[in-house]
Amino acid sequence: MALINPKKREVQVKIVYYGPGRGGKTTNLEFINEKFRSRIKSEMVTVKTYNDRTLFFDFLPFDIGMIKGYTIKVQFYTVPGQVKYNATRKLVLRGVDGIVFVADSMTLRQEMNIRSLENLAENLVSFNKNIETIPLVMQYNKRDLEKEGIPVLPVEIMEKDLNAGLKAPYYTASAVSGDNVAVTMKRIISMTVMSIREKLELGGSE
Amino acid sequence: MTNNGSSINKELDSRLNEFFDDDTSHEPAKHEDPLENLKAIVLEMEWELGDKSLDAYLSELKKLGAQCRQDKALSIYIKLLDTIGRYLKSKKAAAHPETVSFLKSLFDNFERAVNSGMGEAEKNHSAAVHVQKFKKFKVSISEYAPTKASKPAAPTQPSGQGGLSDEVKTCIRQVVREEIARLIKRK
Ligand SMILES: Nc1nc2c(ncn2[C@@H]2O[C@H](COP(=O)(O)OP(=O)(O)OP(=O)(O)O)[C@@H](O)[C@H]2O)c(=O)[nH]1
Ligand SMILES: [Mg+2]
Repeated sequence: MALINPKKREVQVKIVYYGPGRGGKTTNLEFINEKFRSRIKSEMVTVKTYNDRTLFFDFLPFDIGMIKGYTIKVQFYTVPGQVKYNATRKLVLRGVDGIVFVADSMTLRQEMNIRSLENLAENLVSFNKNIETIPLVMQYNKRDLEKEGIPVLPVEIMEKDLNAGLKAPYYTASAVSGDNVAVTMKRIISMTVMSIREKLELGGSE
Repeated sequence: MTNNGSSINKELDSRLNEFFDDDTSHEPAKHEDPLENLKAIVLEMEWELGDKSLDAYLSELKKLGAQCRQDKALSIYIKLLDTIGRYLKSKKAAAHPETVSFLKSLFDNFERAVNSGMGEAEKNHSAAVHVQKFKKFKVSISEYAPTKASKPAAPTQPSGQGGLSDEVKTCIRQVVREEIARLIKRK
């Protein structure tokens, strides 16, 4: 739940990058952290194993400035995608305000994407949240692999697999090259902040 | 309420556009400090390895070398960093896949030796340790080349204009192959 501090006129929202292991969640945050380094005043925290798997989570906080007199602080987390880390995933998901689901476009990962999305839905239920109503952006990542001759799922299939019911906005992306990484992030910030706007006492501010 | 909502939306949009703006003036500015320059280049090399960054790397290193000439330990580091840089420049994608991360860790230690106010003895020791690591790495390079040559070469694609560097592509292919192998094994 977004933390709103009316006294300090500060809002803190929590956005989680979710998705199957090796899908590119960490790479998304790393790209942002590099590219917008000069504007991000805090450090990215990341805990990885020797082969770059996220062990616990990645964490990247930054301020996007003032909106309607409130300082908006956004905290980004990634969950560890590996199936065995569900307890950690739940922990990271606690208090989430918005989600980017990073799906892996490799044909081989079709099943894993679906399972990971189901796992997200279940975990949200345990916090009385609903995947259909929480701000959600889909990202179909690793599109660049197609050029490498690696079989990649057509977007229509991914839409059908993952987004037929949810109808969340989606982007194709390549986190390694940064394609649509910032766009994805902008969209989820915007959706998340809009979703809590009623909670900000905005009526009298204009 | 809708009114209010759309006005927030506008303000939010403009905020976000500002934040995520591709303004080049925010790009790492040219510094006077060669160590800072070198650091930026090394970070860039982790991202994309091309002739441009390698040339910049070698030339900044040269400047730094001139400044550190009096310092034995630092000169050793610079020599190692230079050797690896030249190796990368000649081999590019065919270089040992861990070369860039080896270079990065060497650079980090070099930076530490410069900035942390280490004593002479400690600095010399750290340089010596890295000479040993370098020797080991050289061995793995020599072992790496023949195995690679014996494998059927992957179809090489002309390196695209500005896209992923060949080195990154090689890494990605390798990771993907490993993953596919693992997935198949599991089935
Ligand atoms: N080709 C390609 N590779 C990518 C892309 N995004 C990520 N990768 C690679 O996929 C691998 C896994 O990426 P991570 O960002 O660590 O994935 P993750 O979702 O954080 O994985 P876990 O931490 O295990 O859940 C890395 O080798 C990345 O370089 C992409 O868009 N294209
Ligand atoms: Mg990760």
